[in-house]
This record gives sequence, C-alpha cells and structure tokens, in this order.
Amino acid sequence: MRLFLIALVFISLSANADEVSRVYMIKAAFIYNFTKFVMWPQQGSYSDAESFNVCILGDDRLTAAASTIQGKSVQGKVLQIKYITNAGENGECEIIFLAISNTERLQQALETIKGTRVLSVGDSNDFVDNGGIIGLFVENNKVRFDINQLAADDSGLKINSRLLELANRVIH
Amino acid sequence: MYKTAVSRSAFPLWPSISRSLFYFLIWLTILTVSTSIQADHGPEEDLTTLSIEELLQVQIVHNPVSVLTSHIHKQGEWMIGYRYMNMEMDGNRDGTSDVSTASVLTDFAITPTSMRMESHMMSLMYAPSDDLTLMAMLPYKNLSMEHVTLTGVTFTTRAEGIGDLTTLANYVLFRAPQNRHLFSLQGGVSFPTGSIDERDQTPAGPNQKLPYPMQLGSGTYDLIIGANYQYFKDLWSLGALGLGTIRLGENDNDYRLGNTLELGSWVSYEWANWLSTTFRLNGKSWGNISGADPDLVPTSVPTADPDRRGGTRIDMLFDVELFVPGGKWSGNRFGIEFGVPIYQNLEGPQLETDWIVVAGWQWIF
Repeated sequence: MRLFLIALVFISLSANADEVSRVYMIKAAFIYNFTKFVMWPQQGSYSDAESFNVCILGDDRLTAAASTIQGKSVQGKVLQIKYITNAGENGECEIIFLAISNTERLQQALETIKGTRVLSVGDSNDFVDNGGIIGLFVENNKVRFDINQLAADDSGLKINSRLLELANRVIH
Repeated sequence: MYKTAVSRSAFPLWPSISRSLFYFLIWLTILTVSTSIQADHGPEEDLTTLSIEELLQVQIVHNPVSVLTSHIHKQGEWMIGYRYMNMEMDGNRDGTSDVSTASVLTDFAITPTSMRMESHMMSLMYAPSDDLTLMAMLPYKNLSMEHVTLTGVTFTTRAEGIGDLTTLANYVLFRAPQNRHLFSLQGGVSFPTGSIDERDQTPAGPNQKLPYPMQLGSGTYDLIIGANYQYFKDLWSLGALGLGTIRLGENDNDYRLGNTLELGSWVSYEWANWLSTTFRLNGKSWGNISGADPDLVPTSVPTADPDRRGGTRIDMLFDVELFVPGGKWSGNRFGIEFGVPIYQNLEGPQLETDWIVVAGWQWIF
C-alpha cells in the first residue's frame, strides 16, 4: 500500500512537469480552424511568404499545444509558430495569440496591433470587449468563442458568415 | 437452505462477493484503462481534423449527469443539480437464482414481493481550483415495499424523508500530457442525516419498526474513498471508477450496514454540441449487516435478517444527455439513463432489481 501511494505521488509530480492542458489543445485546434473562415487582405508585405505565421505573445500557456498545429497546411502555406516578445513585432504574423491576463498590458498590446492585418485571438476575460477580434473562453465544459466584428473590419479581415453564426456573441 | 448460495468474501474488508465476479470487475476496469493506453500509442490526438462545429462539441472533461462522484469542474465553477432515481424490484432471488414466494414462505412468516425505491437527490458542487471539486449531495427518499404473509394477507409499508448527506472532494492527482489521461482520487464522509427509526403499520400492529432496506440512512458516519480515471480522444471519452464506502462504528440501533464497493466503466460520445450518449457497466457489491436492530425479528421476514443483506449486482446502463448550447439558458443540461441488471448474486432471499431509471438536471455557472 505504501509503495502504491509513493508511486502515485511520483506519477503526479512527474506528470505535472510536462502537463499540457487539454483545453489548450482544443484552443490550438480552434486557431487552426479559424484560418479556414477568415480572409486576409492580399496587400501586405507578408502575403507572398511561404509560411503562415501564428505568433504567440505573453506567457507559455499555449506553447506546448501550439506544436500540434505547427507545419499544417493553411491557404497553400505552411503554418509556423513564432514567439514574439512585444506586440510591435507582429509584422510577419497572420494570427497573434495574446496570452496576456493583465488587462492593462492586454489593452496596450491590442492598441499596438490595431488596424494591422493581424487576426488577434486571446482567452483572457473580456478579450473582445477590449478590442481583440476573437476571444476564446470555457463555458459549460466546452470551449466557445466571441467575435468582435468591428475590430475585424478595422483590420481589413473578412470573417465568413458561418463563423459568425457559430460564435457565442458578435460585437457589431 | 439459503446460506450456501453465495461465495465467500474475496477480501475481509469488503462485502461478500464471489472471487470470479470480483476479478471480472477488476478486469473490466483494467480493460478500460489498457484500451485507452493502447489507443494512446498512436499519433498524438489531432483535434485539427475536427470541424469547427465538432470542436464546439468537445468536452474538456466528461461529467456525466448520472455519475456525480466523478465530476471535475473548472476553477470557480458552481454546479447545482437535481437527480431523480427510480429502482424497481420485483420477486426474490437467492444467489443467482429466482426464488418463488411460496418457497420463501416455507422459512418465513412474511416475504416482500416488490419494492420501489425513489430518490430525489439535490447536489451542490464548487471547484476552488481546476484540480479540486468539492461536492455535497442530499437525497430525499421515498420507499415502498409490498409484502405477503403466510396466510395470504398482503400489505404495503412506506417510508419517506431525507437520506444521508454525502460530502466529497474529487482531486485530480494526475493529468497525462495533453490531458488525454486524467486520474483523480475521491475522499469524503457520509453523515447520518437519514432516519434509522422508520415505522409503519404492519399485520403485527401499528407503528412497527420497519426492516433494514426500508430505513432511510445508515445511522453511521461513513468514510468514502474512490478513484476515477478518464481518457479523451476527440469526441470520445472512456472512464473507469472505483468507489468504496466504509462504515465507521455502530449506529444507535446496534448495527452497522455492510461496506460497499462499486466498480464501473463507461464510454461516451458527443454527437452534437447539444447531445451526448454514454454506455456504462456498473458493478456494486455490498456486505451483510453487523449487529442487529433489537426491534426487528430476523426470523419473521428476510428483510429483517442482518445476514441476508449482502449481494453483488452489475448493471448495464444507457444514458442520453442534452445540453443547452448557448443563450441565456447555457449551462443547463438534462440527462436520462435507463439500466437493467445483467448479473445479480444476492445473499437471499432478497428482492431482485428489475430496472433503474435516472433523470437529472444540472446547471453549471
């Protein structure tokens, strides 16, 4: 019995070290799916690049799960995960995931990318109300999303009506 | 004549249960876990193959309406729920064989012929963290039992009231990479809030003490320990659970109900963001009573005999759950489950279970 308990504690400690929450696996898959429903403007320095860049800014909550979408084919390009340290580095990003919980920092980052051709995705509270385009959240044991259509329009992004229909809330 | 029908206990701590059946239940649990681990040897779970509609259906963890003790909620989440259960029992069984009423009446003056056990369970859950869910459950029971006497007189006894309050903590001990495997431990206490002094009119007179299965609680503080395993694969989830109840001490009526051991496994599929189904097998074994209520005469009716209370039953159950996917009613869900026993081994004569139906509502906020 004692050995069993020791084994459980050991498993618990070792497993927590490389834990990747399933909720982020789901969120990463959502980000990949969003690429099928959003049209980016053709003009832009990076539209002819071979890679489709999903940038991550903030903490590492999505990092491990993001590896599951790395290398996927998106709009004839190869999806690449890039890590950036400030919002001003968004020049090569088609999507930027803002893993920022602090509201003030989030608002500053969103202000920086406002009007650029980047789809901002986040999972902090009130993400879309703070100016983000797609906000992921957990409700009733499932991941859902809100869309800020106004912010998408400001960025020149066209969001497919099907995605708008599936959103929990759309800010017009 | 009835005592030889059931095998000896596999473990002294746990109720009487045949060795072969115990091994079957262990095998079932191991099969569930090993099947999922086998499946896990394939490539990583690729949720990108799912459409966006399917992604909206994927549950982060599986919290069946009908299996409350395995619930794992998100940090800060509350859940209130109501669950109605109706178990119908008809006819007697000894060991694995049916026993006629006439046969029972060769040894007893009275025999039960059928019973209805209804339970209205209120539950409250709160998760102070993603790894810890606290829960409290309080049933309101409505029991009725039909009898016939040696002289052919039929009568019904009834008991109604709150049962025992159960408090439980479910702690996630282990999450495998990507959370595809989740292992949690449960621990809790059942408080003796249910009456053990229910009385009703019988042919022996008014206000007679009712036998053990007609009492609403155990009368003892009971320790509950358990383990829960879940495996996720896109819209599929598998699970196994084990739950034991250890009675502490003796109640005010000089007896202690038998310990119980429950083992089960299930498989669930999300068909839409408003619909899921679950198929499960659930085995339960419970022991005989230690001591005896001095107000009961064990030779008059089998239900008053503390040595004819143990048994083992495996149920096969099918569950349909409906979710409100959005809008102001989001967070509400409804489930209905129907089950039949596929195995019953009772230290009888005891009433055998015919079917079980469970209907529940839960609101998560």
